[in-house]
Amino acid sequence: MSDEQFISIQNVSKHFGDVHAVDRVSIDIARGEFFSLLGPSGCGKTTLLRMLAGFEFPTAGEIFIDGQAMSTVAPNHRPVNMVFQSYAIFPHLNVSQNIGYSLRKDKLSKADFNSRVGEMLDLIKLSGYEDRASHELSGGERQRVALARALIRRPKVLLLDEPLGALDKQLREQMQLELRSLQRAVGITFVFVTHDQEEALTMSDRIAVMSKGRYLQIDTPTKLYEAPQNREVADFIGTMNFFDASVQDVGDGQASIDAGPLGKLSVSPGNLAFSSGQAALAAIRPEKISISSEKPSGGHVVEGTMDAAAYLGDRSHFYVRVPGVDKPVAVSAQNIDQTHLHGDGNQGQVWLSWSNDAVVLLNKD
Amino acid sequence: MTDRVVSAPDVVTPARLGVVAKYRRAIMRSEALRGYNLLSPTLLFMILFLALPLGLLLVFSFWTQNYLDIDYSFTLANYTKFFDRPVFSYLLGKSILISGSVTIATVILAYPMAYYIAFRVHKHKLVWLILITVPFWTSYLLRVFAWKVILGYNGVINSGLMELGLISEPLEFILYNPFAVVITLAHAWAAFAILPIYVSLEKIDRSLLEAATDLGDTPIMRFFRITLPLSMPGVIAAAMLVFIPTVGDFVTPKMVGGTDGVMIGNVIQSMFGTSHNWPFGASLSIISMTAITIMIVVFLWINRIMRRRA
Repeated sequence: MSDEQFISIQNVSKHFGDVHAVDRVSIDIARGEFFSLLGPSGCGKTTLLRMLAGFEFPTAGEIFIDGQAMSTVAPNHRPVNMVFQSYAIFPHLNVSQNIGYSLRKDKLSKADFNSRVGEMLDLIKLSGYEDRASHELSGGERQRVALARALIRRPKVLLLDEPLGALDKQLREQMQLELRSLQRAVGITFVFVTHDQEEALTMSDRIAVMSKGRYLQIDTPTKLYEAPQNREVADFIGTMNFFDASVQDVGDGQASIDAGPLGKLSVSPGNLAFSSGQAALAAIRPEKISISSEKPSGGHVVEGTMDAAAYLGDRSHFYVRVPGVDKPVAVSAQNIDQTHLHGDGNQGQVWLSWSNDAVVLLNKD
Repeated sequence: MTDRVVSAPDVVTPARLGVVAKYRRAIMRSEALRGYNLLSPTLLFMILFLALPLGLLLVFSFWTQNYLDIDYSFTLANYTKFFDRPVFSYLLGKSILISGSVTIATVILAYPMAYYIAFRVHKHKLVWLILITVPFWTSYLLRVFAWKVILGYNGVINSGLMELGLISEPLEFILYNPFAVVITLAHAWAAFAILPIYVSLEKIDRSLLEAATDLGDTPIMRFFRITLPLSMPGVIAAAMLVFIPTVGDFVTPKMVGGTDGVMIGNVIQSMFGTSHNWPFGASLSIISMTAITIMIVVFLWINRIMRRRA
């Protein structure tokens, strides 16, 4: 066991009848890492989390936590605690009874109990809430109480099942930052399940993007966004423009491709393998394309006509028809001085330009 | 369309409203009135057949029986009679004790059944619930009589045990005593206890149970710390549903209770029947109801204190 394999999920499958909720998944999670399982509902992320908690047992494979095999360990004996999606605050107990729920078997004196609970209340900034009934708490407060309750015995791993889903946008963004700084403060390994890609990108050290019981890619948020390994990941995380391309020549960390209407480009293939003559996809993020109403000099430039524009305050989204490309090309631009693009010239001609390193080369499914 | 608008009558002023229209307007304006309106058939029924008879009973309890006539002068004689003769308060106390035992036995027997249906049955819950009501498809009298057959001198238990050679003479202590009354009533009222307990168990959010396990509880600890406290409303409802009607029961004690199993209900029944003393029967009823009310208030009060301490 090394710190890199603090949690080691080895070839784990979970079948419910004919449904393969989790299908031969192997993931290593490092000690102290904030690790997210990201995917649409039904992708197996929650089942995987519940297997870590011990509420489900794998059909095949083994899970190790801190070197210890979990297949015979009941959930109440595991060194993990969980924050539930619905928070699962015990309705008949007050805040301090909820937070101190797991301390009962330690047979602490009243003073010790209160000081332990008090520490947690300080941590979640809810001091003075000891005697509140659970129904007197707001959504954000319930979330914090659930967090404190799960952390009070300092588990080796904290599991979080979409804990921010029920909060409104503003509170959610605040809680994302708080959760992240809390994780750094306590140094406990967090495994976080979410279907919200923005949430995963904001908080995680690494993310496993899951689909249909398997993972598509495990990487840091930057790598997932900047260098997705396949079309599904590129599509799921953020927005991506795809162009059919054919590989002409591969060599020395560079590949020459013919991207049809976009012309011939020289791009980095990353760690994917390509061979000459192969069909591929050239992918470009909307914000890596520059848009202007006058033809820029130099670089890769194509001409198009404006199809639609959406003003989002800090930035604008444009959809530009380029001859030879099926779907309008999505372009995102910061609203520094682009406002003139919203004028009457909307339907007019625009020029799109990008640099070579903005292009990601992907296998064609 | 425009034609109809033009030929529409003038706006009706309040002064010209008929009785029906006035009533309608009052209904629209007052939420309380709408509520009573909605309740009215039930309310009427309750007043006619519950409140009125209860009032009559109360009035009767202050009259006295004078052989064949009733003396209509107001007197507390019936109540002083109850407290002067210890046999009546003894019978009332015994009735409450028997009903209390029935209640405890029924809840303890019903809880595992309700728990099983709520947590272990995943398909066809409705079928299970209907099966629980099957004993109710036969008459109450028949069910009581069936217990007489089971517990009797030549009954199923005695002949079975004799056949096995475990006893040489029929056991006489199993029928015609308070114990037989408790068994019979506990069986008869089981469904009334199972259903409310089932409902309160069914309502418990399963993630609360998982959370308790996640926080280190063994299944037994979890039951006493989460499941039982959260199902207390159902347990209380079950206890009341069983306790209240069984205190006044007179059929079961009459059929399987023997002389030791006589309850206050038997006395009340005889006052309204063979003994023909309605006023005293009425005051016995009022006293029983008051005693039950006090018992329930005490029960709820204890429960509240226990919950606050938990």
